[in-house]
Amino acid sequence: MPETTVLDCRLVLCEPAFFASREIDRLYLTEALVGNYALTYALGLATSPYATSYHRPQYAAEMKRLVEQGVYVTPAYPVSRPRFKVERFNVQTETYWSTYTNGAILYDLAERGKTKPKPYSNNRPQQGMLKMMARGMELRFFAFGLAKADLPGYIRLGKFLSKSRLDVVERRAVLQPHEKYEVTGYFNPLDLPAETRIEVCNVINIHPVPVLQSVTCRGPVWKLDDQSLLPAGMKFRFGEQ
Amino acid sequence: MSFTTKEPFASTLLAKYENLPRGHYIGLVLLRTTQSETIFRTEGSGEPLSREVTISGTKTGQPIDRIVISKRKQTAVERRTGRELLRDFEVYAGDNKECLLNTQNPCGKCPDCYLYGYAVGSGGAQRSRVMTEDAFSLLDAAEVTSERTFNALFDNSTMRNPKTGEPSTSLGSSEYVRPGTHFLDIETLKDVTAAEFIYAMGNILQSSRYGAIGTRIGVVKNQILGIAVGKQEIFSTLELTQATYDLLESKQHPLVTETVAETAVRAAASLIGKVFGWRGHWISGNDLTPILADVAESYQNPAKLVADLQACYEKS
Repeated sequence: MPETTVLDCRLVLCEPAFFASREIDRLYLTEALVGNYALTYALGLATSPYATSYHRPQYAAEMKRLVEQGVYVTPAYPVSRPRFKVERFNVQTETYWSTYTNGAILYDLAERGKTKPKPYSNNRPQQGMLKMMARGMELRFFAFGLAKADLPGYIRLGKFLSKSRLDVVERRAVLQPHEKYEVTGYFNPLDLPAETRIEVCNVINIHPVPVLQSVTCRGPVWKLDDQSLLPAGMKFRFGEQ
Repeated sequence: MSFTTKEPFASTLLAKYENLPRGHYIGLVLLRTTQSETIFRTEGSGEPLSREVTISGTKTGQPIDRIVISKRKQTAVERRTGRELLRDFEVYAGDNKECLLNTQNPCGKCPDCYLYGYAVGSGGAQRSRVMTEDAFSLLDAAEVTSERTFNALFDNSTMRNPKTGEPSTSLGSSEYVRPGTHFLDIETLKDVTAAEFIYAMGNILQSSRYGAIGTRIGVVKNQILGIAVGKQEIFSTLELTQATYDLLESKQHPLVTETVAETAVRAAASLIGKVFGWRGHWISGNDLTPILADVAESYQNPAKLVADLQACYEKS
């Protein structure tokens, strides 16, 4: 039976972490998970430039090297009941005087005191509520093709670069042939191999790829020494086989 | 207003109010000395004074409790002092008479609204250009506080209601700060004009009652120990309090105000050299005298001061 080493990683949030999983009017909600692309960048396995002219993610190009090296990271899932923190925010300009109007902030002194100030066409959030994963929440994910030393002790997550501690345990995994099994944790459906059939699952709809939860699969599977079960043959595919 | 036309003020004070920050800072290092019993608390009657555990000094140090004059309660007093002057010179006349503090209806066009700021009126929001900090007592709270019992007597000078014979319930005790207690403080003015600078200084120097029960107690004397003129904010009040504590010979209440002032100026002079990238001017001691005299002189002709203030906001 083929064997491999899988890294069993625990993330402990040192600060509340925010991802824009869903935006509903003035609510900005974080799902209790970290997508595996976000994790890959946060772990420093892939990098993107500070500024680009093309305004769209370049996952395939930036993760190409990882695919070649057989490196793969699963989405992080909460190990206990998720906890959240809700916070209000507002945005301010740099000027001493400013005022809110529909969909914009006015800061031009010429508008001061006018009953109908000039409308601006920009449409940015001025105030709202952020729902974030709470400090102290623990998440777990698995990493293939890496040694313990390849991962940092702390990483920064999400839009506000929230600090999180990373605790890593190495686990032996043995390949089991075709079998029907319930997967441990969450999965990115794009990254499963064609021979793995999904029988039952819940879908958490987030961008850029939905994440599957409570998945029952049929196909080859890695059985870890703590009895966790992970589909075999996962890699970053971006929809290609 | 002669000093405002000389360096370093000439290049730091703005000619007119500008809406965008330029980072011209003036730090006023203050010594606030209580002249009567004073009460600084946030939790309401009968509750203890506001206090905070801090390390006593910068070099020597064990944690001590310090009494705190919270930053909000300083400008609240000083704004009212200034607004009395503005009201006296008809700034709040005509359609402007509705501009009152805490009425959710700031006018947005008086010097007080412009300098000390306001939030969420119908005319937007104005950020304050007077930045304050919590002021800390120099000495341990145990040294500078005590407790008084109070009661309220009926007309017949007893605790029994003369008609019903019911006992009075108004009996309690309040913690207070002893007279002669020293608080070091810094107020920072940002991007102000010459008139605003004089107005803010005048408000500090003319405010006399802080904290609770201000009609009976709460007398505080404010003294300007030094002025830091530059392009950044200087050290914090806590650093100044701790550095002064280090240099003090006696750490027992009461302290001589003159000694505290001299020690604090020495501490400030050594701290300002450690402010990262500092290339401003530090004015203290005898150099301060002509400036304070000029401020006092401006108040001899308050009508002109108010007119100068209002001219800062005229649209050109």
